[in-house]
Amino acid sequence: MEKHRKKFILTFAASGTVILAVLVFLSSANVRKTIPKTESFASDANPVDPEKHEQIDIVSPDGKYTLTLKNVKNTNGFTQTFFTSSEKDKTPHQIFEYTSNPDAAILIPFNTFSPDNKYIFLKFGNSEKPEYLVLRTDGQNIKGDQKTVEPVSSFAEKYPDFVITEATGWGGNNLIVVNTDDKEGNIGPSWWFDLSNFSFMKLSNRFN
Amino acid sequence: MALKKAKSFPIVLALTFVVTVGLGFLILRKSTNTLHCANTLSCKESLEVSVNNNEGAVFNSRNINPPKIDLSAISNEPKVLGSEAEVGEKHIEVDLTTQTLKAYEGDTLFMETKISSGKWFPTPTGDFTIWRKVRASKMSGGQGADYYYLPNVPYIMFFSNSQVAGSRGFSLHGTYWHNNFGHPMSHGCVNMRIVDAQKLYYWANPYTPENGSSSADDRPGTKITIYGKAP
Repeated sequence: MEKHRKKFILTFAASGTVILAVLVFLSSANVRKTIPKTESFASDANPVDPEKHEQIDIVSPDGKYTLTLKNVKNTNGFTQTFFTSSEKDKTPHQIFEYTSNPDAAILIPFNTFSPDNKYIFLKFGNSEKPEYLVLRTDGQNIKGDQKTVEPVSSFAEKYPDFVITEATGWGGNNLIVVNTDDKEGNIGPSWWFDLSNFSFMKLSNRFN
Repeated sequence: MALKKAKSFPIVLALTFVVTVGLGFLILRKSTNTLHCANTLSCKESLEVSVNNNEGAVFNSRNINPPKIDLSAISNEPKVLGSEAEVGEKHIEVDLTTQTLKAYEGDTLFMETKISSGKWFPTPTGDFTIWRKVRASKMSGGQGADYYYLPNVPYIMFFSNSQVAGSRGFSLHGTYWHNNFGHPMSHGCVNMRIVDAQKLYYWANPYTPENGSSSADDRPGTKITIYGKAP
């Protein structure tokens, strides 16, 4: 009888322990489930089709600036002219002009404006090998006598082990978020392209 | 007597173990479900209207000048209150997978835009209701390189449900410190472009004629459904 009682207690304790251990495990597994998985989400660029879009207006996130793109067809292809205007100065000022064929057209990314509206970045090239231009919204030179800076080629010179796959937007007033792959095509780290000194800073977080 | 004690020892041991593990389980559940605030340093403070036009902001270890806010100018701001004719219930959907927000009035799409959800802490998923709207407030939290201090966060719509208490401060709100929408960038809130947040703030319920308002039985908040997994 005593033996049966001990057996019952031991079985009860063991079962209880197992059930509670499972509950604790499921609870912690649930916590792990809330950690985001890595998936790619590319930033859409506003399409530029000279047949359909003669003019596109893009408003800054705070609504205070407008970037206007005018497409004009000509014998060489077409010319894209960029203008900016603001809440205070509604007169559009031309800041950049680019002549190309429609396949190499410049696109305006959704996150084109820096948070303080001092800069914009533009995208061109194909989706497998995108390139970017960064320029000031007041039309002034951004670096020395240069109207634009192009981060992809300067990055390739400094960091040949990585390839820029995408510039997603702005992590701060002067910081463009850049994602990279390594040379083997594996997902690499994210970087800041810092416009205060035109340098790249490797990040511990990946901005997908 | 000693024999009796020896016999009862396994029972006491088993009960102690069960109680300890059970308590541990309850504490773990409580800590993961109810304790974390979206803004760890300004948790309850963020729920109230506040404007600090003389303070600087910090995000990503950089100093930022927040936009100045004039609470007295609220009556001049453009407001889209929704259709005057009853076209259906207002409902906001946030898809974390695509980092997009859609707002509907019945079946009519009122707004579609990109957002930034939680990167450093996940945005909760489920069905929520806007329980409080605040024209502007301060949000701060994080630590080390992740520390942030953001006065004048505009157009805040706090949401809650029975699992996620309103006091935890999860919200949809305008964002002046980054422009990386379509990608997770927040500490659990749903970051929006200021132009989008303003439009949604005046459209969503509860109606907010002043600088802040809370929902009530006779003026319920707009429902929000958040689903998917952030990249």
